[in-house]
Amino acid sequence: MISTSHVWLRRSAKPMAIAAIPAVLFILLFIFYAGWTIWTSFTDLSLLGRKSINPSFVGFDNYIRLITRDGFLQSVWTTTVFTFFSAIVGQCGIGLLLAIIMKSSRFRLKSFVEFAILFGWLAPDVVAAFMWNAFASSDGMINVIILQPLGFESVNLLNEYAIEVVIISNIWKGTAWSYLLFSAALDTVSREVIEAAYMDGANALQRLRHVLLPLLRAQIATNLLFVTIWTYAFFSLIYALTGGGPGRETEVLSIYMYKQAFDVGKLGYGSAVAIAMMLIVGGLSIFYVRQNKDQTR
Amino acid sequence: MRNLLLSVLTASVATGALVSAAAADITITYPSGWEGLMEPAFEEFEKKTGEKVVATVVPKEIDKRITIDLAGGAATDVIVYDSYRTSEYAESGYLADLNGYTASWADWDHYFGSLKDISTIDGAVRGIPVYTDVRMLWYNRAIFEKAGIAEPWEPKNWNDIFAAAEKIKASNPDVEYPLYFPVGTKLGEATTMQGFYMALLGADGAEGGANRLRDWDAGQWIGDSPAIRKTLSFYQDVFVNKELSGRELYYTPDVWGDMRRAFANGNIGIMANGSWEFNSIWRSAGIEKSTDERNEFMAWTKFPGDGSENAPATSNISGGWNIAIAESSEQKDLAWQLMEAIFEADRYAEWVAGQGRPAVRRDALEAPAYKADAYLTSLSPLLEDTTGRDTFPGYSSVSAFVQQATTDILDGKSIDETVATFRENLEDEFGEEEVKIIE
Amino acid sequence: MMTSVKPSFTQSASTNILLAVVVIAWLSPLSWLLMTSVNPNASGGFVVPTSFTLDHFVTVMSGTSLRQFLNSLFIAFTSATLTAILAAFAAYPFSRLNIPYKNTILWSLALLRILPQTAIIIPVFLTGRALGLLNTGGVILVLTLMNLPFAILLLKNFFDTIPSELEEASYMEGATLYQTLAHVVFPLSRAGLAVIWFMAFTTAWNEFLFPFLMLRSDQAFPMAIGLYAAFGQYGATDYGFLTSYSIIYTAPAIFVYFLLKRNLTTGFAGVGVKG
Repeated sequence: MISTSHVWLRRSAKPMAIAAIPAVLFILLFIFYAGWTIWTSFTDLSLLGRKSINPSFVGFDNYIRLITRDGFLQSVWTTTVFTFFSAIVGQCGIGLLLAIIMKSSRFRLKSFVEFAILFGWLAPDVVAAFMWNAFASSDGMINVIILQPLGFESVNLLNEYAIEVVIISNIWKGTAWSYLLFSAALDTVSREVIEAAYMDGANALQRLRHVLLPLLRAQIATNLLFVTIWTYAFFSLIYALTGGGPGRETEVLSIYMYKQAFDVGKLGYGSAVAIAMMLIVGGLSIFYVRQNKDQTR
Repeated sequence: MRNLLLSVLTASVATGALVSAAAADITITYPSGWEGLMEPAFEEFEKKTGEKVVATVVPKEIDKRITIDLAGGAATDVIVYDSYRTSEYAESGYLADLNGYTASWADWDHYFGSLKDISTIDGAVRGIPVYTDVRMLWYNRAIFEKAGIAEPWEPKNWNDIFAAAEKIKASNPDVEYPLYFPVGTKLGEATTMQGFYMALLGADGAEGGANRLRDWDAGQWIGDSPAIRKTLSFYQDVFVNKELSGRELYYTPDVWGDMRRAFANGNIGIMANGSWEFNSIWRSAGIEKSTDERNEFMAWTKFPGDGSENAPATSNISGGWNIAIAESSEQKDLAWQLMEAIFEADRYAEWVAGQGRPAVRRDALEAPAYKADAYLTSLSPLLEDTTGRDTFPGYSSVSAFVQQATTDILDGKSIDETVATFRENLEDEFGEEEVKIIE
Repeated sequence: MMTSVKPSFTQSASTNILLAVVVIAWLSPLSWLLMTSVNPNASGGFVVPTSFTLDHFVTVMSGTSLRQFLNSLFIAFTSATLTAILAAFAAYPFSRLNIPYKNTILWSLALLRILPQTAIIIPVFLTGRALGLLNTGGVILVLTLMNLPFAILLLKNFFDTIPSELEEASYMEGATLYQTLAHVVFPLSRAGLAVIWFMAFTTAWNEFLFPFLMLRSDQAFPMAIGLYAAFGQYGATDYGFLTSYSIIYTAPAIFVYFLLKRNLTTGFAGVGVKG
């Protein structure tokens, strides 16, 4: 690695630091906001009424309630399922496979494929929510084009399979990022390796596992971290699409937090949920990084 | 490309500078859809006072925006808010005391006493009501005919409602929602009012808060009562035991519009809903229907009590919206003048009748536009026999707990578990001594 | 051991079918949007239009909606540019200097991104009011703030892939640090900067909550809020307006993507290297 022993770096350290000051100020403000959230999580601050003006310190009450009261743990589970299937299996897995296939195939309409998955990524969340609602509802496209002609009863998919629809819509939305990242990473790998890995036959999976994946290890690890962090805090698409329902079926942590803080008005408890989210993902990140280090060693 | 972007930037900065309000302007925040009431009033006010009105029209979730504005000390001079917030806003000191203005405002005498009470906290008037509403069961007449249910339908108890919905389900399997009954958190207050309260109020007598969420005499919230359990079992019957309703309509991206289109398209048999729906359904569905055609299509009946001994024969509850002045406003006198312009009698009466909303003052009831509306006048018996929510400070939390409780039932939890959670939530929020248990 | 292999005919055929399925799967939710936007009798269901109109688009591209479009563009463009500049100046020392625990620091900062916006909206609102920033400027600043931690992390990864020899050479020739950055480092980092800029642009373009709560006038509302004008709580849902508005709302992000496409592709290779 580069070290400060270089003369030019030593000389440049000061102007570098000065140029970084504006960003540092922003980050400090962000940390201040995070600190406010931590402080609030130990109080009973509310949005309205008496406790909005004179909150009192309640120690770890809010955190104890995370465990003892219904709701939070269920949302942790929902969020974990949602993140695992939509981000790790879906976005990362499909993104990687798609990148390999696209690199090795000679499909003529490649840029069309790219446009298709990019559209999902670039469509604003609210727009995506409306599209998926129209797509999955009982007079939506899946029913009208696929199920009804095949003689099935029309199914209200958001009614019966809400979590599945939400997971699929997030795969639809987020795969582009992983695809682009892996696709760019594959540019550094020779074409033969990719094609060989993709050949059918008994060896393909073996080769994929032993040849290609080790080459991409660093990118896969980094990307897993990225998508886990983003997906764990994912909010607007689900909120617009189902609002957490039916029942609590799709109530991920960010929605649970929003409801506690703004519908019930318990800012203190909501802050505790937010901090818990950070701790969970922080723990996951350390786990990922450890895994990665052990394997490369 | 660069030039295009630059010109866009300059244009945006210019508009940004133009629209930021100068300090002397009078500011107001109101929901979209109220332009008909507001804009002529602004014009008149500007002509009369020479001041400029700067309005912010909010297309959704105005409740959240107003609350954050008030809490953050950045509210406009005049605000529009859901009347149930009055006590909470007043407790936090967000709303100006309007006594000084109403005392010398002749129109104040026209307002109904019950609505004045909702907006008056500890003797101080905090907001002026705009309109109110009542609640009932709407039903689709064609679906009823097909199910062989006699009209006019007058259910005497909850079993009559279930029986009718069962008949609809049996005779017409295409109807996904034989009984639409607001549930869950996405509908917000609608779940509490159009759903939970309507059942709760009819589930027991009024003694000691037995059919309410709060015992006002004892100064306690009700954490558990036979009426609460009966209401939750109503939900359980509708959504779990008898499966009289689908679930998706309560959670779509556009919960209101989708519900209305479902009713207009014959996908709902009976629905617990508000008086505004006689108009809103058709506006939402984009269908022009004359009053006669609407009457041909749909009819309403009072929501019955559960049929037990103490319970009232029917239930009903009213809400509404208020206009108020923020305590933080530095030009309250001007703000009041703007409010007087908004409530100018003739214009107000015509607007409120056009909205299909029950007016809140006697003179508007006498206005020709209102009197000519047979539907609005038919609501009068309900308006005379109504009640309001338990809007003691903290109510919005209680309401959110109620919505969560209905969610629990939908998720398949037992009544015992659901009530236990509801009670725990109340005790966490208010302390055990402020929560009452009715055996 | 490894020979160059040409895929068999059946294999390339099956690949093509697979890719075609991907395209259909990804674009089919779009069909409702497109069909409804040109349907004069637009509704919420899946209906193939029997006649064609562009009226909805004309409505969207005029008056209030046009103003909201420009507002969105201004917010997203400014915030993305500010993010890219600030992140570049912060990421560079992180890449070049030997700061202890720098990766741990950067990843911890990225965790701030987990905090839901709703968790910090109250202090953001209060500081915004105190600083007189409850306006478009404040929205731009807070969006920049939200994007910065990740942007710095990604850009630092990218800078790591650029060898520092050129910078040393430039220093030997007597250039100041800022000259070196402007003439050597940043031009070489175009691709990484493009990725950062683009991510910040799309985030800001998408944002609903901060502009909704912070802006003091509906004249300054961006498209994310304007979209809701299509269905008031008590009014009619205008599906033609909603869908054409959605298409117009999506277009700029796609347009910008293809404008930056070449840079972005290489940029992605750089931001995702380090763990």
